Amino acid sequence: MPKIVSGIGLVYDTDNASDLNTLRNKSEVPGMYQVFPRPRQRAYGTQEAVVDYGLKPIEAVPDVVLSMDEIPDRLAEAHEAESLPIYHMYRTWRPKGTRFNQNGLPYCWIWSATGTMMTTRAVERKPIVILAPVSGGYIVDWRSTGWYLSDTVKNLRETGICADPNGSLNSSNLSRSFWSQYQSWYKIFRLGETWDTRVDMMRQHCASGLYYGRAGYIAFNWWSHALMLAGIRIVNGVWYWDISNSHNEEDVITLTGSRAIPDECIFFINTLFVPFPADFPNRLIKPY
Amino acid sequence: MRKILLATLVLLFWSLPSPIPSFSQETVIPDQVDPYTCAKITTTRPAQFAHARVLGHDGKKFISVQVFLLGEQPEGTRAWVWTAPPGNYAVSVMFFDPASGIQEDVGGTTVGIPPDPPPPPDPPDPDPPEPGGPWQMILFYDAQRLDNYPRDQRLLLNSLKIQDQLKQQGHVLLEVLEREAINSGGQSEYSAYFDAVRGDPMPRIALAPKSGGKVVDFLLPANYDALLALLNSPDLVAYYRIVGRTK
Repeated sequence: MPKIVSGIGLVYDTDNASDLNTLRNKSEVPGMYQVFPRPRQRAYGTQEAVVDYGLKPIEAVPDVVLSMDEIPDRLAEAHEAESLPIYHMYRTWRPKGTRFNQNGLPYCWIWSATGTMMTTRAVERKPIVILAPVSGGYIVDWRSTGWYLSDTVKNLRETGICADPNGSLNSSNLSRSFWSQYQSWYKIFRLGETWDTRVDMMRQHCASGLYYGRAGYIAFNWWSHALMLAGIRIVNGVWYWDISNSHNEEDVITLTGSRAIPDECIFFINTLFVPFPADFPNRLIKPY
Repeated sequence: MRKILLATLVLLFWSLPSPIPSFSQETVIPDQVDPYTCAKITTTRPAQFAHARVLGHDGKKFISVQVFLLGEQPEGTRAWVWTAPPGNYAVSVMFFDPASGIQEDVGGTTVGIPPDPPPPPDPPDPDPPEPGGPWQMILFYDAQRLDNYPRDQRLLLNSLKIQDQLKQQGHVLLEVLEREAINSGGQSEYSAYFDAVRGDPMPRIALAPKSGGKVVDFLLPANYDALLALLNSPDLVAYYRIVGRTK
């Protein structure tokens, strides 16, 4: 069972089999983790990943990648400045107490992607609009199925995701006809640039992307589950990963241990600037 | 005998004080006629006798305008015509019936086109706002080059602590926008800011006094201390006094 760590909070130790099972069983659909045991679809830095999916290697961005030695100090600075995505997330779409829930659908891949989209918009100080994860069902032709992170990214860049017409964060309305009414809203919320990370340099790359100020769209092989990396705290040399999950929690979950390091992480760098059309309801737009 | 009676009644009309006038929809008195044309008065009000009179004023005295009774009118209709130089004239039609006594319909006719009323004076310009802080501002950046910005400069764009501190000092951070917003056609309420920075190198800070005024813009300072120095600088106030008042 997870334990309270002083100064950190409730922590799941992924090197503890019991904690690992607790995390696996959080899914309301037992055994879902077996559906997609290999979330990585496109190899890092390949032409296909870069050109077709927009997954720019983070190493291709000058001066962004931090050295392992400087990471603790840099992350401390970022916490002090409140520039990490977790602070923007708390300030906007997911203040503490807000439940984020995929409602038993095998849609962790779009719940986490949508949360990462909203967090990216928050860092950009774009107006707060609650996006509906379930509206991404078009990516899998409205089937109830798991999916790949890289393909999700490609669709979010090309088509986008929809605002929830009722401002609801956890709608489970998997209806093609319902969401077709709001077809014109999808293009307002589209993903721009993304940075991909290397699985063998994951801690370094994850810390670098967070320090840059962006949230990571992540997946774990052992969990076959997708989530959002919101922050990292390093205390006495121990790494604590603050992650926004979609199993009805009221806050982020904090992981530590060897399996807390994601197997895949894509940083959402920006969202496209699209002015709201005149007929977009003002009640759905909240200023930052 | 009848002629004597009629003459007596006419004299009586002229000499009697005017009765309290009543408005009758049966009598038509034009409000305005073109100059040097006949003005026509008509009435269908039933009365044994009716008489129209027109009075003008030449600036010194009243002028009685001769009125001519028109013949050959439809049954029950009486009509008079008169003509006079341009000016304002009082018109009255008096009626007499033994049963109802004396009644009068009155009106006014303007001969000629009335002059246009003078235009109202221009309202005085509102006092321009006094330049100086606190300031309202928009920060602009190039999303494609964000990774090239120094770390401390990037913090101006995404540090909640810095943004909260600006707010505590009374400043208003309206937006942090990427350059694509400038020519997007959206957020028209920020058009003055977009106009100020359009074509200027990024990143940029565009600001105006919190009470309103012309927007001025500068390169975004390198860090928070430099930003504060700019916002609190007397030179900024002096600069704004000059450029902020120009059209």
